[in-house]
Amino acid sequence: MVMKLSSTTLGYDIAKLAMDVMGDRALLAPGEPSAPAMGMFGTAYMWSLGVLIAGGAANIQRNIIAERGLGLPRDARK
Amino acid sequence: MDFGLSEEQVLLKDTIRRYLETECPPPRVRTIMEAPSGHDPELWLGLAGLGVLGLHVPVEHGGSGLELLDAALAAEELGWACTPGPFLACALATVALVAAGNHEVGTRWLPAIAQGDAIVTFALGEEGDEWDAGRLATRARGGTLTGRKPLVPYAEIADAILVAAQDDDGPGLWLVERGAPGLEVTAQRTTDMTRRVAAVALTGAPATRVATGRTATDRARDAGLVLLAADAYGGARRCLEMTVRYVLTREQFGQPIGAFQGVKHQLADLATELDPALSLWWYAAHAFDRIRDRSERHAAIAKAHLTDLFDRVARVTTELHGGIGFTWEYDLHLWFRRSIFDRAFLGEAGYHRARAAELAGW
Repeated sequence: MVMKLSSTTLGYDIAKLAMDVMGDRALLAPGEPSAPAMGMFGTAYMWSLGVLIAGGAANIQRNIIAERGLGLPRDARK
Repeated sequence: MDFGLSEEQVLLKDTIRRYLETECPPPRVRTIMEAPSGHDPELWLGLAGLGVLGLHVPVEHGGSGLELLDAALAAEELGWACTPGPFLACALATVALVAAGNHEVGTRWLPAIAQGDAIVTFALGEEGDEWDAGRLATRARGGTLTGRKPLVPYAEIADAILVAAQDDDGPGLWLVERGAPGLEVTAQRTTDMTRRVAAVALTGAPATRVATGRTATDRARDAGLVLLAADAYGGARRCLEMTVRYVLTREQFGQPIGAFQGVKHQLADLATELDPALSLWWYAAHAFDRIRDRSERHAAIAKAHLTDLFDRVARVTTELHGGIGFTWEYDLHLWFRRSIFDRAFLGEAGYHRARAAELAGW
């Protein structure tokens, strides 16, 4: 769970950095010929957010890390 | 001293909000953004009817003669509604034309912009993230222009393009009309489908000189930075509001997910960041209108901070939605995409932070 949260967050950070490095051309759609690297980083950016959510969003992961990993009590449930 | 909006400004915002809620809800946003032009003439004339397109057009040219702050309040509402269309393009052109003070060209184009009869855009940026009027490669010679502008908003449907370029005497501003020989416009696909750009290639295209020097170009760029900041603020507010509504209805473990502290704290953090950011772009707009020597730097700061914030709000609120936030059917991604344009256009946040530091003499 720690791996899922840390790797997907890192993936997002890398893609975000790439978007910043692309500067103004980061606004071009993935696949657009005039986008740097054919818009590969735009695709990575959109995907990295999807991966962050898929299989349990960050808050779900945080709960599991806190409860199973650190042994904290579970959230109050009704 | 009162830092709030005037009664007229509050009324202006309310009027635009109500109009867009009726005429430009998300299904309409999608219809327009999926059309080839990304522009809806009917919606555009409606905005013109409300006076939105002529807010900062001088009264003698058929506008309301108001200031950038008023146009920025409109931009905030357009960002809130994720309104597609060439608002930014025409606003940049308006500021450039007003700052140029060229009566003949102003008389020809400003009334048409205000009435929604003409789309005029502004071509500044060049290859290599170049947004500085003093470093442009596009050249003017003998009444013609030659150069490339890779990211020109709505150039495809523009009746005229204001082009920042240089001649032997330095920077200046020229105007090229639609269909001019040597003008080639190539549509570019953008991640944010509500704001289109095209690549403009000029090869000896006949052009009219509009202004000498870089003032008109710099003023248009600074206005654009403030308008993007305002758009980002409106968009971020909408993301937050949609998400608050969502976490109140979506249940997990027998209660709305908004009852969980983790969710509450993330939303509270975003609200805490957004509130003070409002005065940042209000002040940048005010400085543009009234405190000229602070205008450039505050426009840069507002653009950098607000577009960064919009990006963060869009990301966190998408995450809080879980899987549904990432589907094409759910509307949130429209704003996530919009945040990408706001961040990148006219230069990204880091570029403007560096400029702000330089302008402060750091």
